[in-house]
Amino acid sequence: MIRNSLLPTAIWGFRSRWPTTLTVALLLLVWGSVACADQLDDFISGSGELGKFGVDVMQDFAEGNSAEDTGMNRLKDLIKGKSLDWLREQTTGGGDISEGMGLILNQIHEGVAARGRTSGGRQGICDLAAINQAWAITFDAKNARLLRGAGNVWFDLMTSAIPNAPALAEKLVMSTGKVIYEKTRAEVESRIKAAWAKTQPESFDYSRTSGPCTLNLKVIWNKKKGAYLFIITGKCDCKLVSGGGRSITMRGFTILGGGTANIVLDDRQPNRPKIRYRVGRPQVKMKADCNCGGTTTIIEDPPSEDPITLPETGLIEREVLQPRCEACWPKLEAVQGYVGEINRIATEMNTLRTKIEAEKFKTPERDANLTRWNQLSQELAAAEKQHDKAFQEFYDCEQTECQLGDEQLRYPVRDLVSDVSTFCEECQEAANAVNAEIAKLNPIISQMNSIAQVTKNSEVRLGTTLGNATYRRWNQLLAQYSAQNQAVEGKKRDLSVCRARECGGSRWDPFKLERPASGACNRCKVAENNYNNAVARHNRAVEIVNDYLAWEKSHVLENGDQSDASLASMEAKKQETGYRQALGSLSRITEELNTLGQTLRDCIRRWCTNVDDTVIGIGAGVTLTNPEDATDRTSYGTIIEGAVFEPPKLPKVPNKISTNCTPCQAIVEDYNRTIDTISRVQGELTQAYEELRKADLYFNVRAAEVNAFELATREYDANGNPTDYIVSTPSFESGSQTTSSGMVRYEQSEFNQGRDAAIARRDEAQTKLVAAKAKVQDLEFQHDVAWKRLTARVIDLVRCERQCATVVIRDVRILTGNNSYDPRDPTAEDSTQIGIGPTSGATSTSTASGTSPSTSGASEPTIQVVNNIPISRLTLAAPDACLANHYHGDANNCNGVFTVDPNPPACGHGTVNDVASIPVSACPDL
Amino acid sequence: MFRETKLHRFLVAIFMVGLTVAVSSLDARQFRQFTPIATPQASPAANIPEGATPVEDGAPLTRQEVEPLVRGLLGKWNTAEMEQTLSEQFFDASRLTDAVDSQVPRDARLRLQSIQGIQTLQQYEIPGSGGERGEMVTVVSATVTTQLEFNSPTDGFVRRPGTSEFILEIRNAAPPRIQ
Repeated sequence: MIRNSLLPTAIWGFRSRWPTTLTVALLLLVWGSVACADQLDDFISGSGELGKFGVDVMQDFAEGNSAEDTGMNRLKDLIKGKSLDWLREQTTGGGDISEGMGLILNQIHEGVAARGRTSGGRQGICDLAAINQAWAITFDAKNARLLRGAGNVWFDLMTSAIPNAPALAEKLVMSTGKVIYEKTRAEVESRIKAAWAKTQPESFDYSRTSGPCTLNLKVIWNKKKGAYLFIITGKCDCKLVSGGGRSITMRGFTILGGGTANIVLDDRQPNRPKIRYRVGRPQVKMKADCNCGGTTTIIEDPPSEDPITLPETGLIEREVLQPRCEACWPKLEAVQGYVGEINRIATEMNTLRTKIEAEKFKTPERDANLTRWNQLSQELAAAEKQHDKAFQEFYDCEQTECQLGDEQLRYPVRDLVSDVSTFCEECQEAANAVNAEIAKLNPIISQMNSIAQVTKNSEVRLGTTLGNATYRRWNQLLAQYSAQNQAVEGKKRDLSVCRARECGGSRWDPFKLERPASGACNRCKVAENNYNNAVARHNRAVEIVNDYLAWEKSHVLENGDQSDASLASMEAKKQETGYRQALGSLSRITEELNTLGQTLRDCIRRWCTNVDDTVIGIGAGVTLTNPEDATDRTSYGTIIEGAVFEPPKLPKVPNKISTNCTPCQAIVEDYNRTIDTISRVQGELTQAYEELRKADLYFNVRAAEVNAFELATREYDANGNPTDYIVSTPSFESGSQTTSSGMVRYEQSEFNQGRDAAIARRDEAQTKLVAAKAKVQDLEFQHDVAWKRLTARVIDLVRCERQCATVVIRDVRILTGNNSYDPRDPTAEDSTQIGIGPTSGATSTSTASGTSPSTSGASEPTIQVVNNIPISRLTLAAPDACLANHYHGDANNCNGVFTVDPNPPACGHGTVNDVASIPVSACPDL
Repeated sequence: MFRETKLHRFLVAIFMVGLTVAVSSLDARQFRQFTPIATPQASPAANIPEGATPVEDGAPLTRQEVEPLVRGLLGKWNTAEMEQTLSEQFFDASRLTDAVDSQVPRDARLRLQSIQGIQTLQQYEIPGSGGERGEMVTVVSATVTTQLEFNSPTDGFVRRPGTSEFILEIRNAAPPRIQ
């Protein structure tokens, strides 16, 4: 029934595509074999009537056992018959299908898929099941590279058989021109196709299993005819095969089809003519047999499980930023707006994700949710982009508009600053200064923390009254914080410097031993001896303390420290060893050491011209605390005796000068150059001083380490004599022994090794110290030279600028003869006689000050007096408290009586209006 | 012996006569009482302007430095620039210039003949402002011999030599201060 209904359709379908009646007859023959269910197995195996399958193409199938054999045989014939050596390389290196076959396989897959969409009904279920199976094998086939491992060898006869075709076409085009090409195009195409027609057919064969079925695909491409034929067979042994959501029992199926596959000359680009394939979609006919024992079982397939997992979409944590200034508040508002938008989208996406991931099967609702999810994803990406842009604008605004610069201060929610303590009394003042500044800083921090906490929790927003006031207060506090924090840091730096210089060791060390001084000059030997005696006493006390502590350690480990017996033993040991006395004396000796060390240091600096490097660091900052308070009594601290080098205070660099005296310009320029030199040298010198101070400190540490090794060898026996090779430095733990007294005994070799290393470190430090000193000396010399030069330039400048001095006359006092600066008579021959008698000479007619021409007679001269005193004996003063010119002074009057100034603060003897002229005879005291 | 008595008597007589003459002269006169004139004690900081500081280690000016200055001053005598050579402290400066203008012939010139002695009396600094260097003032006493020369219509060429003590006020830039 089915057979009868499908047959005319097959005939009709292939008649239009296959040009020869022979081919149609072949199809009918094949179809006849396929249509017979009993002969299906023979058809699939390729035996039986399939040996008559077609003309040349079917002969190709019959000649070889496989497609590979067929291809290889064909290739050999080509090579032998036509001597196509070049083809050998093209084919033997292959293994893949040709490009043309690949296009054919792709069209076969598309044709099968299209055929599946036309199936329906009950038979449609069987057809769909068959198509599903065929779809699997054609899908593999079109992915030709999957077949490389199948052992098939394919070669592309098209590209290899007419390799010169493109070049030929191009040559024709380029050599003859477009007109000639148009005339010869038909010839070219015919020649190419003629060459193509000589190529041999290509075949393809592939098998695989798919579920319960064994599938096979065979393709034959007759290039001469420009057509291809394929056949797909499936053998399923009446097992359930899925088709269209249901499954059905199937015996087997056959799908037959074919189409055109040719080459064309593509000259759409005249300069680049090329040969390309043209492969048509195949016509497909099929036969599926689902009749297994008279019953056909059809069951519904369960829906396929297709869970979807979507990416996480997290919310952006809503931040309440603390803007630094009002200018950037709008920018911040924009940022906050995008944050809200992002969070809204993310919230919706999270809801959708929950729904989508909960649905395991593909449903319309899930598809709709997925569509919405994708839409929201795009919106989220856009919002995040806008947010980033807005935040960048806000950040840029703060950088340009707001003056407070520290990024870290935006959220300065920090702990309150604790008071600092110090290590020695010398730095107590500096520590107090730090604490005083901290006391001012902490209230500011408290207020800022308070505001930050409020804004973080309540999301106080800008633009509101509360928000604006809060941020304004925040910014005020921020400014205060910045300023006060700088003050604290400054004081802390001062304290650090003080500690480094004055306090020496930073923690208590019960094993700290002072380094004896040596190398002082004779003048300081007394001070050195005093210091060393104190060191010896200090060391002895330390040793006693150490002995007891070592004993106590072992005792506590053995007996514990809580029992009465144990406590009694420890107390007895303290009494026995003098521990308490030694402990008590340590602080006193320490103070003494500091004093004596300072005395010795001062003495050395003052009197010892050749100061030994090993003695300049004596006795600075030795500070011990009660070892009872120590938490770790076995720890050994680094012995630091404190910085001892105190850089001298450099003179202030004078300002540069200028001068208005042209001849002195060169001196001023040299002076200013010298100022530059001094400034530079002082900068380098300051740095060199610091390096020297560090080198000095470092050397002291290293020297003290060496000293500790020497002192550590001393353990006293019962007679108070030190024993050797017993060291108490725990850095030599290996190979140690514990003595009866609790001390640790070490091997001499270990000790020597450590001591030698320490000596090497000390020597290295000393080398650096010497180098630092040499640098300082060099710079100090440069500084001295420059300073002397500066002094010399000052002297030169003073002398030089006198050339440009201005001079005025304050007074001219006559001694003898003429005084040309006498206002009474600049030309008088004897200025001392002006006012006494008549002048003579050329200026005898002038009226001199203090005299007047005689009015009483030619022979009686007169004299001007005030208060009966000749005015020549008095001093004329300008108006001051007295409103007119007036006379001051103490002098004899005309009667020879000494008369003092009667009114010094005012008009004295009288004003010029009080001056009277009297005859000389009336003034006998002249 | 006699001779000795007569000589003795003669000498006594002479003494008595002289004494009588002296007593009679004293009756006509009286003794004058001389007392020293009180003068204030000079101090380094005296007579310097307010804000100025005396220079303790002053550098005295030498003759070679002063001489051109004096020569320049005298060259401006009886010229229009003469007033600029007089200090504000010069007493009756305007009266002097008036006198020179009215009494001194136009061709009168004051010629420097010698400088006998130079003494730096005082040095003090007036601080500058704005970091600029200040000004150093030096007061110098110079004993100068001058000669006034002019032509008189009646007496011909007239010379008026004279010796005076010039009190000069010399100003120049203060030296830069270095420690």
